[in-house]
Amino acid sequence: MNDRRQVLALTQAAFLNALILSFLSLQFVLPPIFILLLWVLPTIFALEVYNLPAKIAVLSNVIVLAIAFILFGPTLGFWALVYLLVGGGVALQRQWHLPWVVRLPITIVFLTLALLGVTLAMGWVAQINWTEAGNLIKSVGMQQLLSVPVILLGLGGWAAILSLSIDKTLSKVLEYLSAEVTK
Amino acid sequence: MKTITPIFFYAPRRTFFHQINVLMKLLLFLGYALLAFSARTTWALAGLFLLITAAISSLRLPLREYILNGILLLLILWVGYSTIEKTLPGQLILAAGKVWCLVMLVRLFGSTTKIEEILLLLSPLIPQSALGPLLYSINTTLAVYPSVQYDLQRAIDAETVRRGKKLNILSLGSWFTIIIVVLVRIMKRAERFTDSVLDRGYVPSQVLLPSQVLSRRWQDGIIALAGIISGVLLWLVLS
Repeated sequence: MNDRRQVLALTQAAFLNALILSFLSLQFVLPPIFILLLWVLPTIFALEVYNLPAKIAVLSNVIVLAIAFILFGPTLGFWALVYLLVGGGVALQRQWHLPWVVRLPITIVFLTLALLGVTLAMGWVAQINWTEAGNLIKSVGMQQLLSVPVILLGLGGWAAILSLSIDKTLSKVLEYLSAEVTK
Repeated sequence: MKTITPIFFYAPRRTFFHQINVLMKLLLFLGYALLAFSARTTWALAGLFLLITAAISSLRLPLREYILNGILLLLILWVGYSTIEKTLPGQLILAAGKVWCLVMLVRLFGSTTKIEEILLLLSPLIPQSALGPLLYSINTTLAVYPSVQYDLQRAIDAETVRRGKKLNILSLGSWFTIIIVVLVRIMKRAERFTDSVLDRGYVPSQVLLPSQVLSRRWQDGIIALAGIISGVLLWLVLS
């Protein structure tokens, strides 16, 4: 890789990282934006992984995670990890030229696994007793306060909308960027 | 729309905490994090929490809201845990207390340690070929962060003006426009930035030599050890 391409890739990664940090800090003034970030931040991570050489993307993602952990603490750091996992998954599927009908369910699975993984990790760190948590969920189910299929359907729909939004935004940004290049 | 407040990095002060060797500081923080997470009773956690709060207050760091939120959490911890003790909600309260302890430790470390110190500590572990890109990436991220944040704010303001009403933060349409505008803009800015960096003679493969060394004083080791011992004693007494 020549010097210009390398510096350009590093600079683009740095700008995208700065944008990720800007969005993370937005949560301090607008806490509800947290829901929105589940769509926005994976898109930025996906652009980073898709558009940059693999080595630089890995280096830059490690840097942004470390900065997020140091500046914003473990909770936001773990969330940044979820965004990265989902965004990375979307970018890899695009690199393998999978059609969107295949990409969508894979992204939903990625999102669910990332959320589940981070919840388990945080629960493990905070030493939550999972047997008691399971019992609590069972007792809620038995009292029929919430219907499990409805919850699952709602969560699945939400994950599908998020996955579709990530994919669509990434397509649009890449379209604009390629239009800029060919101008 | 509220203005985005800049995030807080490092608070320059002339305290012993700022001057202590970064490795010793890291050991001290890791020790306290371990103690907090191994706390089995509210009393032990509350004791550690008060010690961290006292450290932040005595250093006059601008972390007032962290202290206030922490005190609130401490009260919930006390009242809640004493009434619902070994149940799951009680455990969740204790877990939240532990996570908050960790948040405060990270803020304390972040506001008393410069990024350069962490890099100096890590530089012997990083291969020379990766050191240049790593430093360039970190420096550029932190340098352009305020301007990217300003760009984001301007895009939010522009969207508010375009819509003619206050931006609904959950409106996907508005955010879709904002994200695309900001992403395309910063990718173009990155190209101009690269040209100016190369024009100034930056060569990414150039071998880098550290311009300063980390201070290594035996007093720092004693301070860290004393800090950890007092934490352990407090933890043992209150457990």
